Amino acid sequence: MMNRTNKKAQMGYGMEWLYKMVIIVVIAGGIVFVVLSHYSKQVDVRDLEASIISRKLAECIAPNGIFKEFSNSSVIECIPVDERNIYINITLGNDCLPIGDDFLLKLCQTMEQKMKVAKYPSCNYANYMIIKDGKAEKLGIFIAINKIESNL
Amino acid sequence: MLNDKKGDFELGWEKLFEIIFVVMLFGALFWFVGSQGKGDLAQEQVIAKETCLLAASSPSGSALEIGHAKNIVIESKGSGIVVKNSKSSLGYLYPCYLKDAEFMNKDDKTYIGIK
Repeated sequence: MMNRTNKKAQMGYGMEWLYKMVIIVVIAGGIVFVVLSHYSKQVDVRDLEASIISRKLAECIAPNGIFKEFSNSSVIECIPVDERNIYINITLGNDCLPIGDDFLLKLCQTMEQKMKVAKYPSCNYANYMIIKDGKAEKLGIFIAINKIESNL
Repeated sequence: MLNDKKGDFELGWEKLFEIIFVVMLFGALFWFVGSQGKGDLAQEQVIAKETCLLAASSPSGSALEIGHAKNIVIESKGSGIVVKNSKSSLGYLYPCYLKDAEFMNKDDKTYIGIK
């Protein structure tokens, strides 16, 4: 009889201990979650990055505004990009050079139509006037950067 | 009487373990909240992104000198930049556009050579 009572008491004590621990862990976990979600806000620098890459590409294609070369390898040589996280489309006259993930272009087009995209890329379009074969030509550089995890 | 003492003793160990566990848990929690409140994570992130923008906008052949607190370590990892606020920290990695950049840490300064 005595043993049975002790076992019951031990079980009850164990349950009480477990209950207390669960409450403590839930409270601590809640505090960690709130603090992390508050302090781990990301600074979005993709627009700045896009304009820097755009200027750098323009400088590589046409140093000091005078056309030099325009090819896939020269662009990759100019700036090393992760093609899964970026889409670049360079247009010069009738020539067009796309690099990277073209799904980002579709996302940018969707955003232009005022549709809401939860995890949106940064879309940047810039035009430069350059001299090619003695004539002024328009160099268009479109850049879309994804990098959502580190910026949003 | 003997049984009671033994029972008390066991109860004491259990309580002691419980107290140690709770104190350790809340100690770790306060340390975590304190370090986050000081902005350790935000500091790593901002330095990594600023360094990336600076390095990406610099022409090849240039050298950058970045001043920071002594505990900060700026390194490269592939084409990205890693900033740690202590040597034991995992650090914050920001994917950047570095190509053959050389990093040199010296106390409160980091020199970056852009090739």
